[in-house]
Amino acid sequence: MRHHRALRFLHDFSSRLRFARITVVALSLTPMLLSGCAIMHHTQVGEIDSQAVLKGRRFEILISETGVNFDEAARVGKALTQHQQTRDDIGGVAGIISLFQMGPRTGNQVFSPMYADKAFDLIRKECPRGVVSGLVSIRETAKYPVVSGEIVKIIGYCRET
Amino acid sequence: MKIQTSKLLFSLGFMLLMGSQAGCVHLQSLSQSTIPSERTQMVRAEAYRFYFLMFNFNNDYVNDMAEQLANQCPKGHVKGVLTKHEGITYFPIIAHATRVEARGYCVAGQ
Amino acid sequence: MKFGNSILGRGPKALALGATLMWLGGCTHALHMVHEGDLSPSAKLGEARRVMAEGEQRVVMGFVGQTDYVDQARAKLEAQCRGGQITGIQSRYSTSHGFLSWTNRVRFQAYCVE
Repeated sequence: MRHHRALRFLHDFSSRLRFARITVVALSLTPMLLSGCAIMHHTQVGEIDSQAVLKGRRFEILISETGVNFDEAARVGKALTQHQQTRDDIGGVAGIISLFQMGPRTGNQVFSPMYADKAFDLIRKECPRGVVSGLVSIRETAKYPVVSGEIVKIIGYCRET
Repeated sequence: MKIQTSKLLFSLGFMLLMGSQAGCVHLQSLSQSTIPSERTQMVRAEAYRFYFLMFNFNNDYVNDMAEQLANQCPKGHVKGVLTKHEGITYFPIIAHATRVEARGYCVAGQ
Repeated sequence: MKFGNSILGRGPKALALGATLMWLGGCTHALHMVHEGDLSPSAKLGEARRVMAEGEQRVVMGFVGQTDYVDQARAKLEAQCRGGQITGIQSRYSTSHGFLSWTNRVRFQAYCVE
């Protein structure tokens, strides 16, 4: 009897320990999952007028668009269901969609590639009458599960004349 | 089995032949600086690196591109530089290359 | 041709859903990079004229041997500002995805100072 109780106690204890370990891991990963992951794709530095950069006013233009990762969405969809036929269907649809999305990618796919064109006018607005120099163009991604922020960041310096 | 092997060999051979003729070229990045009003003399520099099995230990091959351009325009300025960074796939995984091309205009004495 | 119990075998609703998802998935693009070029200090942007040029290349299954569409876009940009200085050039490189093919696009927009 005591032997059985001891075994049951050990079994319960090891289950609770396993649950505690899973909870700790999940809690530690949650901030990482919620904060996203920053990925740098391209950076280019332009010509530098030292006077403009050292004595001028720094400005930053940030433009972003929501990107979607259809493969990740399919994986999440499959994980949310236990029905095998539904999983197969999701996999089939994801496969068919991927045939329509062939091509090189940087970050996740977006539904309009023109979102960064307004940076051209925004630079002019930041420095309408001065000298713009030290332009740094950055293409980066803030990655979250399934979606992402596809970001174009332009840093520059304006020296008023 | 023999038919499948010969089909596989034919497919691989075809891919190798097609890839070796030109390579599949894709643009990785580009930049364009201010284009001058005087555009009579064009200068060009190129850096090329072939990779075997994706191994690349340094990117020093692009270091002297500015010098190549300057040598073609010794008494002037090189302006309006278009820089193209291309990736070339001759055969997936096994044979790749990178080509960086910079072309601009030599403008005298500014 | 029998599709059994797969999504293709479950009637017009499933096909309509699939077609809609395909259509949605087929309108995707990738913006690879945007570069803002230098603005020439001597340029009087108040008197400048905006110019824009695009180049594109249709690629099927990745088989393409050149990137001449970039040079063609640059030539188009230069043609719009003969005799003037082209400054503040924004270069955008993107790809529009499609069925077993894609279209690479390059767009330049700039100020022409004459």
